[in-house]
Amino acid sequence: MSETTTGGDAARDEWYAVAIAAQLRPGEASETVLLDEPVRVARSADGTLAVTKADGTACPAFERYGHVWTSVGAPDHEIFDIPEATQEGRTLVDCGAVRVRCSPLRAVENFLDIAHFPYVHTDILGAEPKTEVEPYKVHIEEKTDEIWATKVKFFQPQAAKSAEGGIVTDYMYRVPAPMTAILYKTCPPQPGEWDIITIFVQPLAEDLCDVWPWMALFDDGNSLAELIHFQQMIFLQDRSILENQMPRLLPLDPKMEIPTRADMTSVAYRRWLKKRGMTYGALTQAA
Amino acid sequence: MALSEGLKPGGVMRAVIGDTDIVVWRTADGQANAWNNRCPHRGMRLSFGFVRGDRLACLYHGWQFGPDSVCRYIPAHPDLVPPDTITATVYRVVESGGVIWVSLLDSGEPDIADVTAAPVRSIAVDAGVDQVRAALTGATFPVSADWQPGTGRFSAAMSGDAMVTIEGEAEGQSRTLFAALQPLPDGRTTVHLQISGDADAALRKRLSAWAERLRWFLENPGEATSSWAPATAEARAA
Amino acid sequence: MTLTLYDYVLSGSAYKARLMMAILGVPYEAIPVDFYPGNEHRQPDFLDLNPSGTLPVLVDGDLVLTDSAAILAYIAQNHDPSGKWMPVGDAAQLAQVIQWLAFSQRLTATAGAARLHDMINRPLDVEAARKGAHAAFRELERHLTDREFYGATFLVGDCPTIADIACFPYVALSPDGGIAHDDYPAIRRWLYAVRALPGFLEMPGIHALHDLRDDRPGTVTHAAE
Repeated sequence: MSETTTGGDAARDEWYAVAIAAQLRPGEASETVLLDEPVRVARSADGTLAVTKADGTACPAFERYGHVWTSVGAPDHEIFDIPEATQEGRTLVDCGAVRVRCSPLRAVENFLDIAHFPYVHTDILGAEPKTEVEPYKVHIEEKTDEIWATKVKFFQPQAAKSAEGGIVTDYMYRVPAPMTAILYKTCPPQPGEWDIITIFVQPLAEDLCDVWPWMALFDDGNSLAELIHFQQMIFLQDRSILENQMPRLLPLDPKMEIPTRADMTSVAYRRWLKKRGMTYGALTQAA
Repeated sequence: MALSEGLKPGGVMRAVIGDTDIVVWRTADGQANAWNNRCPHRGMRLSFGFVRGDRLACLYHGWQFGPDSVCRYIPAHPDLVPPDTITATVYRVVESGGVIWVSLLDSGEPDIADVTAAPVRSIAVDAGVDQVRAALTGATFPVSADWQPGTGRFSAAMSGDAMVTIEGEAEGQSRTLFAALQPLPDGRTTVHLQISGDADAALRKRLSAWAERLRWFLENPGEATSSWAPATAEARAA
Repeated sequence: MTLTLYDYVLSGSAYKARLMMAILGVPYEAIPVDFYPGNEHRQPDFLDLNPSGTLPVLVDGDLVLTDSAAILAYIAQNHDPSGKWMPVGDAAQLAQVIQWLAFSQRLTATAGAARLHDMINRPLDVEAARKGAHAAFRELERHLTDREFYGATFLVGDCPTIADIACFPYVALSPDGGIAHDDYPAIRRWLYAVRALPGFLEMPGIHALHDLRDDRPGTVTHAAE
């Protein structure tokens, strides 16, 4: 169980994706911002990563899940594990960051939501009149302090690039870190397996984030461009929602916004953030 | 906040008054409503929503709100009767004289003249409400009495706080141009224009051009073109 | 002969072609190009096809078209039996259509550029782009306002033309780049009219018109009603 720390530390002492590893070639660098701090992400000629703050201080950095990860604080834990990432036969897809004028926490919460599928991802991930969200299960995994939502299902006209026709899709959601969400969904080409779709959210500011989607799929013949485009299509449909949610910061006070049973994952997420003292990108009191 | 004709039945639009973000929408039967532009579920702007019959639905999860602002239907739980505590926040709306008016206050009666007028257009100007008011009522805006560019006289007065009436003439008939002023954030203003009596397409087009000149005049203070009257007292008295 | 469209799902310019072909019911093969993050449109294989390195590209046999306005004209000429989408028989209308096709390039360079800046962090003087977009929008608003006085809904003539298709995407998507439609009521009505056209196809950032779908049966109401 995490100690409740100040909002700033709870955010700073975490790992964040800041670049696609394959796109950072030796001798190249990119400038970005992490939790309001300018950061330079570089790879030296011999291939080693060098991430530095504006004053030259070095930040810890490594590559995982197709991305360069770093921290402007001092995480006391390793990055979460996704065993499927190294599974034989999976296609790994780096989708590229999309910048959104919203709280990084709102971006995560939207990813965990399915009730919006018929309205925002119309005729793809959902369609009227099949709008009902049946009860599902949410629990916090004690050992890892991660949120899991299981037994989620929804009828989807086009669940994935690899899907032919509408299917009832099974879903699981996992939140292994405050600004990361992982979706496990029915895999049409390999019925016993889960397709994995993640978002790694890089907080630039409390109301601005770069969302790095990454996928580990069993696909059967779609080109990389097609897989990227499908994911980008879905995410860009969400972006126009995210930029129009007010207040921009995620309210952690339950009185401010009204959930229903379909929102159990988001309710758990907000409670979990509050318990961890994650106030970056959040509103703790009714405005 | 809007010209009535600009918002058709089933239409939804956003209006901002000062710092207040408002959704204005019309039921299929034509009733205008103005609410705070925020769905109580997850804060989504209702101005992105859509109308079905007499309900406004939020774009995010399709929650439907009746004209009384109470949530009537939650698609994720189709058999649930939503508690009637789930509502949008309502503002008072009056539709009069071809304009949809909204009040952010809870009480008080609207000080609005009921006029018969034809809509012209709503135009947004990069100038503050006071500046617009002054330009119109102070007759410093040079335009002839029949809304052509050039010299001339017209008189204007305030009607209540938010409306300027401008007396002029068109095709030999005296007409009143009504300019309802809506303050926007960042020192800008929307002017909703209407003309008394009937207006054919040609007259409305001329008035639309007048509105463009008004905007140019307000946004380029101190400049004047050769085809306009200089703003000196002698020239106006001539 | 199959038409081939080199396409990117998030490209407003490629969408012009997709939208026109959806409305006219034209079959085609789409080849997705990894514009972002892969930068495929700047690689030698793509540059062989289109040295400008832009999307969309339409290929019909030996013909390769690399400008979205040219693509719209070609599709309309070959696949619109009514001849209304591009009125070649009427010099005045055709000239106006071409004028609006030229105008649409300003929209791409201003609103379109601001969108790429805000969405994928493309370097740009975004304030200048937004200012340019608002200037263009004001001109469009004025035109559409005056047209409405004469009972017209679309940019030219009595019905929609390729001018509307060319101008629509970057106006509709402008909020993606921080350019709102709040000041432009006539533009908003025109956007709705385009979205309501039979055969209309959405793209990310442009939502379906849910009000035009059948209302769901069995809607729950409160007892008091």
